[in-house]
Amino acid sequence: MKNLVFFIYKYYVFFMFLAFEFFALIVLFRFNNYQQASFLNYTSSTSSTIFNTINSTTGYFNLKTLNDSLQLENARLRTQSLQSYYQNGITKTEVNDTLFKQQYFYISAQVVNNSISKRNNFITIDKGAFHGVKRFDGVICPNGVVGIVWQVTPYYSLVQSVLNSKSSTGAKIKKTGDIGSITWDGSNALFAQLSKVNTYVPVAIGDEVVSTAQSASYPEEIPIGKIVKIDRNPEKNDYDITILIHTPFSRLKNVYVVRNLFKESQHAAEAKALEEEAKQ
Amino acid sequence: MIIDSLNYLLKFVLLVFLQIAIINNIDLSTYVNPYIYVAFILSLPYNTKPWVVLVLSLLIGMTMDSFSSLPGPHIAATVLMGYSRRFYIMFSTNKDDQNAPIKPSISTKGPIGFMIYALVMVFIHHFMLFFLEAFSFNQFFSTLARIFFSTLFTVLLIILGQLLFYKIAKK
Repeated sequence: MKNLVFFIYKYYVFFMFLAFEFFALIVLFRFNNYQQASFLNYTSSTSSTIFNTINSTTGYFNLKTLNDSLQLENARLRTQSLQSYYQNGITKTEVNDTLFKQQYFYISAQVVNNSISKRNNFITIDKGAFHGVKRFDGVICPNGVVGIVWQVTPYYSLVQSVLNSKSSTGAKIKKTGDIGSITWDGSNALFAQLSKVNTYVPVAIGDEVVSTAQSASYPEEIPIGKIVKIDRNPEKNDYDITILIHTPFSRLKNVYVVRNLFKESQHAAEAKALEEEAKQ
Repeated sequence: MIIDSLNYLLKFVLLVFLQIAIINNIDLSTYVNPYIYVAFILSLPYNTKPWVVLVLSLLIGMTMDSFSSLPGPHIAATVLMGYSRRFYIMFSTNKDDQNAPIKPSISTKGPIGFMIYALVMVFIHHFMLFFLEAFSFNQFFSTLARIFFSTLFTVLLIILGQLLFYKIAKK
């Protein structure tokens, strides 16, 4: 016993080192595995305040481009609004619209912290559970998709960017409608990879890649990118496609969280189908 | 002693601030992610007690982790660097120097000596950090390239910072 104490005393630095490393790994594994345990919860109050301060200072630098993009979006939305359509009939009747039920609900948010050069990039936005954000909601910006809500705290959320090794976004080629999956190989923030597209699909350079509603996180046809390079993958009989991402991740400021009001029922239906399949 | 401690406290705050407010926002390339806050551990005097180095490594690692979305890698990397620093100093300096309050810098170690010291230490740090961040050995060589370029940039920035402050101190 005495020897043991002496041994530990003699090599106390080494044991301290081991203890600290062990602590670090526990923190790392906890965050990676536990769905709910979020480090953000513990540190959000201080670090978010600091990020907010930094953000409000740097926010001035790109006000002009930001205004331009918002104005463009406003113009597009104005074109879509009912008032910009010529009314043919003379009488107006109000109807309780049962054909169109609202499916998507948008929450406007500001990017508080963002990175594009890490292997796993995350984005912090200033809206949280209090504003109605839920886990796995989609996040988009005027130019295209941004990512999926990963962690939610009362006033902030952490978004798993498309530029993340763990993210996989359902996508389809706009022209043909064939679906694939968007991943990021981590080498360049401007390009992402589209995989699982079968070789019989007629793809061409310049084709638009858009989101699909199958994952229930994004609405249909939100732009993602444009095909710039097509390689054949001989082993799997599908294409390795490189796309140029439309979303300007390096100067992301205004984003929208997309709340799919039908998501729960879609998932419930899919879960039921799986259950029945398991029974057979 | 107290002035020295205050000096290091100021350095801690300044380096963390520089790292999160400026360096983290540069986004030069996915292969260049400098982490200059390690300069804090590099600049501790030779005769700092090993446990103090470890605790300080833990503290600065935790601070950096609380500003990142994936906690853990910074603690692990900085603690590993703080631990291995002792062996580098044992190997590269004589007994008298090891027990004197000499701060490793360009002026005390010479430009080449300091550069090698910084390169080795920063490489150890970045090696641990980038592999933990990637969390897999897939794309092993891409991660290695990341480590290599980031190490070069970190050392470059640390040396530039040293030259800047060294000049000011001289005047």
